[in-house]
Amino acid sequence: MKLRNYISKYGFRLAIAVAIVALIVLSVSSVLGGRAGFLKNIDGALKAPVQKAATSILDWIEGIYGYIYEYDRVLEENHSLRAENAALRQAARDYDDLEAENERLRQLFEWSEKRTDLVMESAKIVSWDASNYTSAFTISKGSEHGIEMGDCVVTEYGALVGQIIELGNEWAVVRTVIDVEMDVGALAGIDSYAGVITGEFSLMKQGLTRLTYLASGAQIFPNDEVLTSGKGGSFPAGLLVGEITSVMTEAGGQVTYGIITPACDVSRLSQVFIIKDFEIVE
Amino acid sequence: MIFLDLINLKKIRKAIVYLFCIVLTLWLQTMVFSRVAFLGAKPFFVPALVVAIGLFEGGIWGGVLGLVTGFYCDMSLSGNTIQFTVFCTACGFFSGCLVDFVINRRFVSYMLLAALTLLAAAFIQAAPLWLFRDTAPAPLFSVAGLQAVWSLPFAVLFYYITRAIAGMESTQT
Repeated sequence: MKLRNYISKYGFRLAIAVAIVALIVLSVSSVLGGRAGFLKNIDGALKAPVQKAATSILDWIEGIYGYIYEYDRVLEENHSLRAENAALRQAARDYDDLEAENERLRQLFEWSEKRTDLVMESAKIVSWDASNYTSAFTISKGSEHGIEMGDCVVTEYGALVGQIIELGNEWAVVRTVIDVEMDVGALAGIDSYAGVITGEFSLMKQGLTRLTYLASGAQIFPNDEVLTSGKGGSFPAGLLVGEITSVMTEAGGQVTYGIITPACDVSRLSQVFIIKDFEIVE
Repeated sequence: MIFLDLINLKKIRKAIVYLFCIVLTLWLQTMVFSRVAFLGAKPFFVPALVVAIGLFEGGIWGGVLGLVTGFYCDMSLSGNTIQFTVFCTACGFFSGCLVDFVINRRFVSYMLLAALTLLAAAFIQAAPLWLFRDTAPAPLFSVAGLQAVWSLPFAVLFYYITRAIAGMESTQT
């Protein structure tokens, strides 16, 4: 049989098989809208115990590696944390005065105090996405624990980690805040300038992200805190995203954007908290 | 008994062994090597297995097992895409075609084919970011290149494993 005949005979059949599979996958994914289907749930359930074991072994190996190679770095970090602790103690002493002043300002401008009630669920990270072009991980809890698509994920300190983008019965996939596909409404600077956090590939590889689409005239500076704006309803307002480490201008010189160092070190996460419900009481 | 005669048990046994290899490879890929980065790039070696299957078993086996591998690969990665369902099927089928008509089954031929496939796999993962997310090509494709290079040592393993499985049948007959 000649090559052309071979390809036209068998290649055509395989192309039909691929087209059928593609059609089924696309139809099922559009119907489920990110929720895992039957096969994916079975796969997740089969993988779960192996993933937990693999994660434990890898954590143990990383622990040994860290002990051997990172001792000096930890020692240095300890010294700087001691200094930071002293500064924070001083700041805490100043806090009472500032709080009183803040209260007075609130009353002065008749600002209503906002209270946010968060319903949280803790989960362990069981595996990271194998792709080099995304920043995502799988957690050990899913829809059976009340988690829903689009739920917001934070650290124990309330720093934004990411958002649920795929959901199984006992697992979920979280897209992190540094991922290229991530878009989060944010506020930055003293005057709370609105912008959008959008991932960028080179920054993602360094564990950073950027604040773009700032309104004209917006002024942001290094060390400005970046918080979620809460617009769109996916994320509660006021969650700490990170800090602006540098302010850049795009090639044309017209658009300014900020490079953000996330408050959570994505590469060192092992446990996260999912905000299942939040309520803003005006 | 008549039905049993119609079923080729040797082929079924071999298919089960290949399916086991595919699942094991994907589990290693997603559970272990998703945390092992070399110069900022993680390996992505699954397509090399499909090439090896196509090389030793021909285009039909390569295509069908490529379809299974690609489907499972797409299921294991985040997002709902079908890029590896299509890509792995094509890789398995065409590597089988090439070995039937153009190239031989030697290690060097396989490694060249595997290297090209791994580069193509890295490219199709990186290309959407370049085309649709305005990402600068230089860092993107340097990661893609590293990913392909970092995956090559695994491709060596697949050559010998697949050769052993393919030889298993010929020694049994």
